Amino acid sequence: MLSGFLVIYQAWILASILNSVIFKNASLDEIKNELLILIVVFIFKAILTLLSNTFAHKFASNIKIKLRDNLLRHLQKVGPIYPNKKHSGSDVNTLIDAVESIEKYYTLYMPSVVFVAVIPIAILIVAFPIDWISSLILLVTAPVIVFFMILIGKGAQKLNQKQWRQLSRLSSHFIDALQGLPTLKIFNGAKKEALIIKRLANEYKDRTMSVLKVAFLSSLLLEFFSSVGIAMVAVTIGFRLMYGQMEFIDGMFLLLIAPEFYMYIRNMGSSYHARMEGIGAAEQILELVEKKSLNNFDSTNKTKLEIGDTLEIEFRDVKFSYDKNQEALKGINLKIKPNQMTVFIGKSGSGKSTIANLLLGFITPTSGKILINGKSLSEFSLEEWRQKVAWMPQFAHLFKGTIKENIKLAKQDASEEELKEASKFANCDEFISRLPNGYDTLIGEKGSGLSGGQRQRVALARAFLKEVPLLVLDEPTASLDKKSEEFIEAGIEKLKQSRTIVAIAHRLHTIKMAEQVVIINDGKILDSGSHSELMKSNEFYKELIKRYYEKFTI
Amino acid sequence: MKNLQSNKQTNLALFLRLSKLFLPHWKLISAGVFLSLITVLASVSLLSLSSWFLASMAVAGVAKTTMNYFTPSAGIRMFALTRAVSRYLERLINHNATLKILVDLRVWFYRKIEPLAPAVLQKYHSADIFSRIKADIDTLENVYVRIIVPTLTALIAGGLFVYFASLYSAKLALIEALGLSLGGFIIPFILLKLSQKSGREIIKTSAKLREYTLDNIQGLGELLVYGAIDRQTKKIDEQSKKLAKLQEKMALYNSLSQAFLMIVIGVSVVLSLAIVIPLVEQESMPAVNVAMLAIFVLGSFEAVSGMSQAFNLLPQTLMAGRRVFELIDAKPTVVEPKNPIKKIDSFDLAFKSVTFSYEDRVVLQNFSFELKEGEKIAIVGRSGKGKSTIVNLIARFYDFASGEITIGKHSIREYESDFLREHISIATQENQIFNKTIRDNLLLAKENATDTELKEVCQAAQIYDYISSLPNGFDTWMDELGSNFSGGQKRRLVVARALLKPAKILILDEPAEGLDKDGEKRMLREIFDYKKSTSILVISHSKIEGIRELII
Repeated sequence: MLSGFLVIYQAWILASILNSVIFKNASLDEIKNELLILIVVFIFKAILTLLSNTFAHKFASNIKIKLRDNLLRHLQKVGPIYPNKKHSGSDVNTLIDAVESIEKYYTLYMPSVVFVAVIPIAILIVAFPIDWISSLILLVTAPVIVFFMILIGKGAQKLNQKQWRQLSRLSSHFIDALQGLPTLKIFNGAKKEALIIKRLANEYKDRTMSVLKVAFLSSLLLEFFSSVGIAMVAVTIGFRLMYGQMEFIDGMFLLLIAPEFYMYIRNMGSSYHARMEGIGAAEQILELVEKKSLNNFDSTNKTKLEIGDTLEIEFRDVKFSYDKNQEALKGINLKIKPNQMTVFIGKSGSGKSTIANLLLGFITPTSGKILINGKSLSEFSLEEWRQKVAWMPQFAHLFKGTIKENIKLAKQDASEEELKEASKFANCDEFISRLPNGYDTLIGEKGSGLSGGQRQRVALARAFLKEVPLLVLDEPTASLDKKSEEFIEAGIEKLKQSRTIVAIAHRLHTIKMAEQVVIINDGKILDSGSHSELMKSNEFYKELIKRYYEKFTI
Repeated sequence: MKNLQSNKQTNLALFLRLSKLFLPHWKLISAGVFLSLITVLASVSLLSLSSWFLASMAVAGVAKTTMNYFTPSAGIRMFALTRAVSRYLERLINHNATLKILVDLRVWFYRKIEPLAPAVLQKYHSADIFSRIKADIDTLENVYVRIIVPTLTALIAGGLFVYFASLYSAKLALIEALGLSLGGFIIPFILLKLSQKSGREIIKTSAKLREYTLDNIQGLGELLVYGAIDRQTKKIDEQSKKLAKLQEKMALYNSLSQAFLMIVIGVSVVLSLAIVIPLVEQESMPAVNVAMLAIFVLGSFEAVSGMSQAFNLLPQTLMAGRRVFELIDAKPTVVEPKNPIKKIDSFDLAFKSVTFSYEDRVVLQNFSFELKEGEKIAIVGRSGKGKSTIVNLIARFYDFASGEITIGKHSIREYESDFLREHISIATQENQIFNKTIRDNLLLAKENATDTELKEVCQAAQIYDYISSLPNGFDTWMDELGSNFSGGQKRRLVVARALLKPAKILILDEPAEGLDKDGEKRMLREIFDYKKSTSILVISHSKIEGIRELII
């Protein structure tokens, strides 16, 4: 802010130096002091710019850190299951890139608004007593400029939204084509594709240009008014100087200050895109914040509830919907006995995974109750409940880091022996020990460097390391080859004696291991019993096994 | 030290190579530079002339004389108009050029990369990397608008300004030259060097932040169940704070650059006054020129106003260029024949003791088999036995190391690969379903296929019932990666597309995945019926009834 006044002062000093030289025939010696002051003013202006920039960035930094942290915690609270789940990449973009573009809003747009509110007005206040005609020129042209700026802004807004959509279509087509190159080649479409890319890109270019032309035309008028404003100030002052109606020093001062006056207004115009970007980013962030959690565990629930080491689970008329039109579970009544294995089977979309998600506390029932040893699950604190559960999903996520770190995720203070024991249980000790760096081998994004079966076995070791009464397995051997499947099943067999296991099964072998098989169809329990019982009594089950499960036993 | 030198050299070479990409557009570029030059000149002239005019008029007023005020006041108006109009035209031309160049860059890149697919591109097969390539191309656009144009403008306008100053005083010209090069080139360059380390750190830190955040989102279930969520949050927070600190530092460097420029401007103006005022005292220059020259020096820095940004963008632009060139400089694995054979006499396909290794791993060794024209066989074996390699070799995506593959009497090396592929149709799990309608995806195989043909191939592939159950039928749009399809349905659509292509050799990789046994039988029977005269190679993990079987 102060730097604005320095601008006015600087203009005055310069005008007065020129005045002395031209009209008082001042020698260099006589104006030495004023020249020094001029340098000092420039230095002061430099320091002030430095300070105000630093302050603005510091301010923006704090906001960014806070915002990221809050967004992250929100995502964690919502959990992995929520309606209309999109690609995980888009959440990452919001958290990193959208938050980043908020910065410009604070460091570019906000200061320019403050400047424009203060400095041009200060300039006018100083200029009016000196010469009302020039001030009037400034005063009249300024609103015209502001008017065109708003016009440009509106145009830019439209441009942004429309063009943005088209640009993203163009680039997704480009990426689609690059990824699909082998396919295009097979169908001899690869060469043709270049023409399609060219056509799309050209269309985008032409549309952008037609919108830009309008925006630029407004900016032409903006430029025109500020240039003409300066020219008018210069010419009117010139004549009054000639007729002796004005002092040179005043005239010169006004001429020097006029471009500054327009500059601050124009700066706000050019930082307008920072505002646009900021608003766009804010929309993206809001979208993320509006993600509704499908679990309503009471986070204030801190009452300790003793659960013990054997778990009996009961579902009492449990219903669940992901959204209004889609009821995934339509009233489940079921008892899961301790230290037994219960498997759920059914077609995809029947509601098997929803049951697993309920047990993991990712979601809570829309109505009905889940009882743990007779007490309602919703009375537990979520954290405490999760300490009793281990989980192996269909596609386990391995984190970038060493294998050891990945297994120890379940129990950070696990000893080397515990680590090795769990790995032996999961049949992965052997292959890990054969790796050159053993347990310290680095694995990449999504566990790259390991085969699918090896990844699942590492995840199983993780589940074994956490010694808890309940183990939830989501199609643990799907998409694995025969050998890996056997390894994993052997591990599960060992665990069965001491834990309650709930599994979603894809393979007949897993089904045969279970004491209780529950058939889920369309959100309801169709039947339950052991495999051999069901094979005798249930035709639907027989058909299901024949069509979908036997095929994999070859 | 020597290392640094060579690094610089390659940077320069890289920049020249990048600039070459823009050479075809030299007319547009020169027009852009010319207009941006005119804008700067008009702007500086407007201010200088105005102040000269003011001073002269005031002198005339004091002396009670008149002067020719028509010419200068007309000049002022003209410069004002020129500035506005040339800035408008400059923006128009430069944006037009940028967009044009971007179109060409995309097409150029695509054409360069097309022969590399898929063998070379395999290494880059991740969506993230493809978006990075896209971003890299977008970054290259900077070379023109934000680097070439401002630099040329600064150099030419700066030169003209120094020349103008030299008309009045050699010393003044020296100050002007020093000031402009300090403010426009030397200070930004020094600060660029100073900030380079932070710049690299920023890239590293934000990559880490991205990685941890992605881990947090993709592995959220595990983190929650295993109580590791707080640890991950802490890790992310740490990186987020580190990144913010680094960015503040970077911003400080930028502000420093701005601040130094201000001081350079101030010192230049004062020094110019100190040079010009004695000239007036000696009466070798009219006093009114002082006003003009002082404002001229002040305004002339507009010529270098874009340089700080140009320097800031240089490192990331060079990096993007390096990555793009690295990719397109890769050698295709398949060399096209010099004198290709244009006719295929018969479609008997034969592998004769073919060996192929992939990155030191032998995948196929002395492998031989024959597929006579019109014959149907199945290749059965576990994964990792080289089944997909056979497909890649026939499609000429890879070249074999030893042995021979022939179609008819000739080695497949003697045909142009595009020509060869016209006669081969393939459905594998790697086949992409494009983000278009189902119909457009199918038509890729045969542009002018009739609706009856579409129906026939989809029926054979056991996918017709599903497609006709969709509200929009064949005109349903695929989501990105076809995620509104199950894996099995996707496979069957790919099979239908492969059937549509009028090829003489058809390769199907696990076509019946997701179907039950009856469905599998029906599918193969219908396909064999539909493609009676076509040679068909089915890759499968289990035996297929009724056709010859080859176990690997």
